[in-house]
Amino acid sequence: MSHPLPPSHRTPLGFQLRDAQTRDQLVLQVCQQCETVQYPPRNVCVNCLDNDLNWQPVSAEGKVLASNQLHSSVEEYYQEGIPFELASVKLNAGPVVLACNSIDATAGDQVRVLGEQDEHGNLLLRALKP
Amino acid sequence: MSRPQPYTGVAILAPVTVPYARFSDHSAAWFIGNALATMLRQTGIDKKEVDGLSISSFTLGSDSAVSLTEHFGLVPRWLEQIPFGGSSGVVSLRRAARAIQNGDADMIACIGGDTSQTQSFKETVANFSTFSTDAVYPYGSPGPNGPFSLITQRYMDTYGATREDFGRIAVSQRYNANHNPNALLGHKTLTMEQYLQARPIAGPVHLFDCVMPCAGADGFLVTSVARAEALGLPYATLLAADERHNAFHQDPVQLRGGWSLFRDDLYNLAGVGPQDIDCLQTYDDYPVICMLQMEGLGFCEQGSAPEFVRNNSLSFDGGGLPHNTNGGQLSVGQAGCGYLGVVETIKQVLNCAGDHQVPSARIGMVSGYGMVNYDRGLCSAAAIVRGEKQGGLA
Ligand SMILES: [Zn+2]
Repeated sequence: MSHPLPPSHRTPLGFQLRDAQTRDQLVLQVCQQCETVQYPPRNVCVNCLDNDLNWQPVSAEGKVLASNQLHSSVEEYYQEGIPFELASVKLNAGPVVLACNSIDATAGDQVRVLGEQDEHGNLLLRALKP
Repeated sequence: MSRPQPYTGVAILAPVTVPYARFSDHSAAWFIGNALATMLRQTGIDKKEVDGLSISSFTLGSDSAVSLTEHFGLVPRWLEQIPFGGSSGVVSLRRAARAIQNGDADMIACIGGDTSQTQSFKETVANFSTFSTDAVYPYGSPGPNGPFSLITQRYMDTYGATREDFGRIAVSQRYNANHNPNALLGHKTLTMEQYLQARPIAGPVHLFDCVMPCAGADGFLVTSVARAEALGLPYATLLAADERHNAFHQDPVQLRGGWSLFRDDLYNLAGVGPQDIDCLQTYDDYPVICMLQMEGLGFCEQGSAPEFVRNNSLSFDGGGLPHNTNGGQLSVGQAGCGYLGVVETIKQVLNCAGDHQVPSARIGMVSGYGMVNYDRGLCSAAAIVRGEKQGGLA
């Protein structure tokens, strides 16, 4: 039996998000008209609806809103690796991101969020120590 | 801002349920078609008289509401498909009522139905939205349990809610389901101890906080009061209804939905207040969301639902606030996009709910909630209905 793979389907914007990340910087969409930082990626600015959006480094700092362990998954790949540590993080730059929580961060903790590709080239955002 | 005008002259009738099944080889169209057949058979209305159709389903696949007109041999002059998850039932009722008032249709069938096959839930979750594809599904592929576990945790941290508080909702709904032969879990009792000892699913969310996706359908007819009177059929009227989408999007975590933005207008239009509501159906994808609805619709203050459920019976016969009186999705099962609560509300105010009838219920409220596009449900809706000519159908 073949080993299950992590879900690799993304939208074109999801792949742009992956390709924009760097080792030590969080790169998100920034509106060139009003400077709104947005996530998840969109086609136009959530604030002013302008379509002039650039992928730019933003502050990676943020605060954990909630974190917990997922004990169930609809994907076989994750069923084998349960529990999955999940956190929601309010970035200082504005948006809320869901991220892997590999540092046992809990609500109120300051963290840094960076993107990391797995061995299959899938991007995951990770909450890291500040 | 303008305000919704009264829904005068609109009648709601023939609440039907096609019994739920955990899995089915039948398609969603089978369940929806059976709901339509049942309501026509029970009322004696001819299929040719149905000139409006509103459909909601997650599992129609490549078909849509218009496909179903060909499946069912209907020639509607008003056709609607509401894809707003658990708010679809309430929103369909509202849309249909306006169509009746404006003469766009004379007899509208509103139906929510789904099938459930081994892969259908995974397919729904995996392709739910673009935001979900890019920003939720890769993170453990949790389905709705992921975002809701974070919302539940944040609600507990902020307002001091405990698992027992959520358990009061789940346990009372199971008690209600024990009096509903159509509830999939109605043959099993649930104690608080069992609730607390259930296996963990995601953070504070445990097994009995989660709904079971299943197959089934619910529906009702919307027509004019004059037509309902001429047919001599039991009917309810729509006192008020409203909806909001993407409300409070700047809140970092969803601790409130859009209900508080329209509830004053809703009660004003209906001419009643929360104290006049004989039974409340909330959309119970998770108990914490029931709490947001109780708060948003003014049954208690923001953040005080845990206290409210400690101090008020939620069972159909407990004399408090009868809540999710057929067992809700937590005990009946999840199918049909929030129609379950609408149909139950109509049955209650027509006094034809059977063994779980709230004694002499006349005014019912139903709340809808749905569509976790990313980290929260985007749709909030609510309606207040009143039984006018009460009674059941064969
Ligand atoms: Zn902008």
